[in-house]
Amino acid sequence: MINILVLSQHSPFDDMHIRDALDMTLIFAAIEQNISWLFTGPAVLALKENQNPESLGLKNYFKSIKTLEIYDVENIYVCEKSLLDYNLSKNDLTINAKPLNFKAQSQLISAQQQVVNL
Amino acid sequence: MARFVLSLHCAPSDHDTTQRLFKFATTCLEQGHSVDTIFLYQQGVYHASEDINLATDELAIASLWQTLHKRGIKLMLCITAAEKRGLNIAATNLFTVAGLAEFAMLASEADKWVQFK
Repeated sequence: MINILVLSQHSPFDDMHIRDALDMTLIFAAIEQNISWLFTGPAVLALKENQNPESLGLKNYFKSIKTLEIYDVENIYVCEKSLLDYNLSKNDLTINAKPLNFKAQSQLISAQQQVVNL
Repeated sequence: MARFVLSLHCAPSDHDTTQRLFKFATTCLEQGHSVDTIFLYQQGVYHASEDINLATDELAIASLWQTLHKRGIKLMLCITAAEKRGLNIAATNLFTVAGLAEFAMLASEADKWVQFK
């Protein structure tokens, strides 16, 4: 088993970045690798409650992010500073994600065999 | 000697990234490393489209892929990313249509996964 980290840094409305990252995260969970997913910058908005993408004519894939819990993907992390930037707290998020400061993010990245930016 | 997997995330219009991937892959092989696959993901899936025809004074992308294919590198196209973008997966040039799981297993076994974007 390897430690692998998916790193998301794009807004949930920017192209298909978050959808591609979700697919990648779920597949590594399916093949039983130690997968983690870190949201930084505008990517933290992908976890915000009460999004209404249909009003923009976009597919509501936010529901699929919740399937992470069904597939036992527990290592979901958010950048603590990015939450502050977007005036969010841990309680505003749709899934249970652990806020990390910069030092903890750096340690998380150092503990990985593979890191993938999507 | 190390085992690499490479993934390409940009569309064929990004000539610099496409050439960096090509140079990296060929250099790996020249130095005795192995490249287990090149995987098209995100906008990279458009490289498999058979509907792209470039003028002769543009970068000859098709011949780059032909060279990599002839050197025995497995060229894979992510079916999930391709279907989401409406790509015709019945006509994908030298690329083998593959599931994400197939790539994820190769990536888990590799020494290094290098992304080009």
